[in-house]
Amino acid sequence: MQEDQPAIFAVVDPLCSRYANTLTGQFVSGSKIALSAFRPITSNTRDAPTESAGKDDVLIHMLQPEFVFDDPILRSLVAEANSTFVALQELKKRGSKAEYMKISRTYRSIIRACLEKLQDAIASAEEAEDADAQAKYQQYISIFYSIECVWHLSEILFLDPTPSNAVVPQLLDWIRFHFPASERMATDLLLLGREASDNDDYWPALKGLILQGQVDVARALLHLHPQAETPHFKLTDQILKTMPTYSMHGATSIQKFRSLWQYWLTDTERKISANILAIEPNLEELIQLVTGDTQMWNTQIQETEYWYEFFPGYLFYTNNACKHFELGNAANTWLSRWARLKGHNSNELQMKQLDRVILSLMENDMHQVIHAIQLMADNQWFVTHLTDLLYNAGQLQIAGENQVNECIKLRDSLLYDFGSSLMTRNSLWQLGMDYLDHCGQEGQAALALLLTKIPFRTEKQALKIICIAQKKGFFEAEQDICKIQSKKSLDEQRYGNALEWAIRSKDTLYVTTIADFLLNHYSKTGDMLCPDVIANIGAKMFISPRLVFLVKYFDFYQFYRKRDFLPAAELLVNLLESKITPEYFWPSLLIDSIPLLESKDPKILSKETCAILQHLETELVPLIDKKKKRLEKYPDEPINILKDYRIENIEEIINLLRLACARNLSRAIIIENTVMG
Amino acid sequence: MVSLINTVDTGHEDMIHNAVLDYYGLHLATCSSDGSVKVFDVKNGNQILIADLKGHQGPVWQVAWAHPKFGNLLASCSYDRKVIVWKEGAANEWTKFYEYNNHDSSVNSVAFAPAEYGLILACGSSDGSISILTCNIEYGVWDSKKISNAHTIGCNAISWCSSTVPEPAFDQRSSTRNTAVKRLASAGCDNCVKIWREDADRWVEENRLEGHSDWVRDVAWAPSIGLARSQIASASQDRHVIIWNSTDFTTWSSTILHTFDDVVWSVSWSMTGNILAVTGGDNKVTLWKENNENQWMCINDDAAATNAQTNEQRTL
Amino acid sequence: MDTRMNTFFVSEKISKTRWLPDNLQASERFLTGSWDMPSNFVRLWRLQQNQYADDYNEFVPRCSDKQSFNSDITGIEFVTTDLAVVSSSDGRITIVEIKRAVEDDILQQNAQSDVLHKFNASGDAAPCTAVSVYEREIATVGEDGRLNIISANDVNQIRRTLEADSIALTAVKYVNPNEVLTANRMGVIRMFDTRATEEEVAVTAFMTSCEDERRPNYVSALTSHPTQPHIVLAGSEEGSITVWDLRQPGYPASYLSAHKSAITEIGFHHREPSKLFTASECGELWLWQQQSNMSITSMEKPVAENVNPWLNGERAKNRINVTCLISNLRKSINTFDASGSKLICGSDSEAIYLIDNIY
Repeated sequence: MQEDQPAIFAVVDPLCSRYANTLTGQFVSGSKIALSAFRPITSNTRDAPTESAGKDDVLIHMLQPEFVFDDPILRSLVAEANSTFVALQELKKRGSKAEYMKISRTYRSIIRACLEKLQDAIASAEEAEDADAQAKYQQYISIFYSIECVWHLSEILFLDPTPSNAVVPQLLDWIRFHFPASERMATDLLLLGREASDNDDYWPALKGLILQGQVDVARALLHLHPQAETPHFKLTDQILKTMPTYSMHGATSIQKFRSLWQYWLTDTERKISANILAIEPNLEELIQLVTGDTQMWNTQIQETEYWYEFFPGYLFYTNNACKHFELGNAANTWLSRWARLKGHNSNELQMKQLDRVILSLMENDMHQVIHAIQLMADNQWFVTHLTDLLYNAGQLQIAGENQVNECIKLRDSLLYDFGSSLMTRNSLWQLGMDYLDHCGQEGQAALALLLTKIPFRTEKQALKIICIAQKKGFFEAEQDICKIQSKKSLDEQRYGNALEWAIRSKDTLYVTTIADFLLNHYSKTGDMLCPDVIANIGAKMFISPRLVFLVKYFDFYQFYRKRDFLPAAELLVNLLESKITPEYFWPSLLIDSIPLLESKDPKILSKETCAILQHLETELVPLIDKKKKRLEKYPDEPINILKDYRIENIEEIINLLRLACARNLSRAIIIENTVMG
Repeated sequence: MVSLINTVDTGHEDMIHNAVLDYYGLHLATCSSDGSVKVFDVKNGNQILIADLKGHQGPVWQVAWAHPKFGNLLASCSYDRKVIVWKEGAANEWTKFYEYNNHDSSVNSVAFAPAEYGLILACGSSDGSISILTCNIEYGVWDSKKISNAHTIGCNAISWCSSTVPEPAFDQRSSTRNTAVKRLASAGCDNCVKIWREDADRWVEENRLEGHSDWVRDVAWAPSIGLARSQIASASQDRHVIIWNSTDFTTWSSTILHTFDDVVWSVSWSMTGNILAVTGGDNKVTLWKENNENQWMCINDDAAATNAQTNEQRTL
Repeated sequence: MDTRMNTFFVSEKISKTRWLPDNLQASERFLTGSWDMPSNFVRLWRLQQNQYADDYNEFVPRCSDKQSFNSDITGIEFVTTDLAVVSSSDGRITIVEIKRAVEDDILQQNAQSDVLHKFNASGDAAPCTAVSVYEREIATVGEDGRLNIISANDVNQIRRTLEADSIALTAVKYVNPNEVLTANRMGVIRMFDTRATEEEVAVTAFMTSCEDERRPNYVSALTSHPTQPHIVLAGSEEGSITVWDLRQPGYPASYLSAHKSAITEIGFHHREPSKLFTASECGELWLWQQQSNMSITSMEKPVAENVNPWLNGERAKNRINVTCLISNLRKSINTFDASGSKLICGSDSEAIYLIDNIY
């Protein structure tokens, strides 16, 4: 984390400063901003080249917020945390403390695994002598190290309260975790057994352990000393052993604990002032620390780099029963002392961001914490997930009049921003979706919008997006994608593909438009496009009456081509009977019946022939008349009304049809009566 | 916090006035004082010129992409009083799809309506009028309506209200599509922002937002994401950006975002409407975000942590 | 059954995974292909014993080598034990070769075809959507509706191109050296005889069943029985399985409703045809197992009535047990491959999952 600074971004473009030009910037897509040189149009702008015409390159600079998750290691952090995030939402705010603790630990272990991978990456970058990569991973480590540290402390303070509200034992765990040097030394020394005390690290390790309140490990190390059985060592061990500790579970009352402590302390201080341990200065130092000796601790403080490094240890020996609400005061007192000893004037103490966040956490100032962690260069990953976790666990405490509402608003807006930023980055959309899915109505609407903005390149991806839209009930998004696909296919002259996408869009008008196109094409050219698709539409045709007509007409066309005239005739009559024949197709349809009517052995019975005749007289003839009248009224209109049939031809056709009907009727009646007779 | 991803050399011979990415962010259209409109393929950070469209006889002020369900269509407007709609055919060939010649002065702004309404284009001109052009997609026939004298002296910018604003009267949870009522905002030299509503087959002035004391140069209707409220940003030569809010389209409240050091030329919203970009004569682009207390904060002046504390790293 | 599942996050969406064919019982190497990434890769992985003994994971996959592709990987199939064909959404196929080594195996590109699939009007490349292999013959299908037959020996020589469909094809499968099945976005499966001349390519077409015939239902996955290749199974958009006996393709032999979303891959265990697996778009992986007593009887007494349970129509359900191996992953499981006791699968969750003990 860096100190607050305005982020100023400079772009070199001479055209921007030439003459009276300035700069303009606009959002162009997602979070991209296009910058370019600009000159306003005013009332006296004239249609003439500007003074700068042809002099400079005309450039557009595309800006985008920096995004750390393009790196594979951090990307897997996002992916892994995403599944934990969803598991958390599935608890629906009704989980137990243990469940929230488990979620918090899962998040932290994901961060720690990520830190390990980053360490490995640095090692390989070193091997490859790639300084840039090394610096990059070093930066990521410091970001995510801070995150883990703050997360851990938040977990202790907000998610894992002890029954007695005492915080010291957990703070010791936290500090041990983040300053593991003494513990590591101790582990190595314990393995050495009796030779441990010969090691240079022996006394520093012991002191480090005591400073972190790790009394039991310290005692184990002391036991390894060859002189462990001497009175001084035994006395030291005795003091440490009898030190009272405040039970986290509140088994002893605080008054009782205080009197026990006071008794033990007085006794120990008496022993030290009696110089009993003076002969073993190392031991005496340890015991002085344990009694909270001011001078001794002051010396140690000067060795530290971080204000909070020895704070939990000091609390352990001086205010063992410290409760959460007392922590803020204690921390501030300690910080002033630390600053004074380190030679800082506490008023102008330059604290690093992490130092400040830790203080704010101890002060229970969540407003400040959230504000500060928003500034981390992790694209809001941490603030979003931590706020959401605290919110879900009912531990997000923000002062304000309308507290509950504020918390929901804050958490929702963080999820909204994080989700949108993932969704507008190609390829992370599937992870981003889940955040928008859990932040209310606004999130749903943004999800519906952003789903349609994913620049899919294959049909498979389009179908994946459609599947999600269907599950979420985003009907418009689904329809939009299908229509875009259909339009693209039409432009590519892939009519079958376009028709299938149109059917998927469930937009009757759209399907009708394409069916019309296919029918028109057929009546113009006699060529049926994409027959394999039409043949397999089946029950899906019912989306549009025009499509039903197309499919049925196609069936007729198939029978006809196979010279299967009886079913063909039957279908044709059915089509004529139905009310779905488009106006422009009437001539085509009736002309199709001529060969059937003119067949020597009748294919169409008398009843059906009458029906055809009736349609001819009641549908086509009035239609022609109507068009004729219109033509008289507006003589300038193109003559080929009814699309491609000129009016003279139409009349000829009608006469042909009448004749054919009459002939077939006579043939049919003769045969029918003969057969029946 | 922000980084330069690439620089596109447009190859235009004179200044450009507008650059827009298409629906998926894969094609960039630019227009220039040299009278041409160019289309670039900008996939994967490379730019390839795919079309150089010549048809205007004067500086081209603005370009707009249509929704891809209508195919690849691009509208441009120019000093030459013309609006041209360009269309991409099958083999990446661009042709003139429609030309509109019914303005008496320079056309300053073009904007396609939300796709749910169909293929509709609004144009604002220095002759003070606004044209609404509607295309019958099946036959490729255009119909035009005109709001005469929308702004005296001239109309500078046009912005449509997104169709997803839930109607206040209805259940807000179901995000009722308000497809019946079309609205647009215009900014003019009469110092006003006006809201227009389609009423039967006419366009009527629904509201007049007065708050600026000089020409209003740009107006941008925020993409409304699931909220039953409308938000409009306007930029003026009076050095103010005003944010207008309404929940019922009848009363609009105004908040002055900021008083800038110089005239403000343009405002634009990010895709999800959470950030507003403002540019002005001070040669700066500032980004603004509304916090949970409904205050507007400039986010690129606040803080950004890019170089983390490398010295705070420790062994794990 | 005591199956164990280990999860490994790999920072990319996995579209295909295949075990390397191994003559020994258990393969420890596999390939993965990615999709929808800024740059896509085919990676060669090897399972290694986990050094941290107390860890839950017994094996850890380590990437030995990779080849980058500039479009989505849509299919990976092995031609020989060391050669695999990779299909991609730029309309090409690529032959990659695996060179096994003690330390780091090597993955190299041997050959790449020209664009095999393209749209006629614009001439733009069309995604190659699937690939199937029979010995050294490769069949590819694409969004352009074409079926190409190519020899693995020379990927630039197209042996045969068939305009199979006027809509996009989604799957392809060899059923024997001469017959190839293709499936399309409408749910139609066609069988082509690759030897026949252009005029007489006899096409058998059949349609997948669907719960609601008014809904679109594309074929999302296609396979045939390893030992009885006339048994064909298709997974569909609605999540159901339709089974045909190619000897009587007129009507489906069985129809089983299964997942709640599209079946992304359907496939039998490499050596044990009594086990079938299906993966789904909503993140499920199921094991379909013939009930053991049945399979014993069928082996002992191959009588006529003892037909393969997949052809049993309604009764199939009674003879097949379904076990859910992964559920509620929420992100699509795009692919899996089962070999020996292990199953590997890849998902849009950007992880690969290793399941051991699939018995």
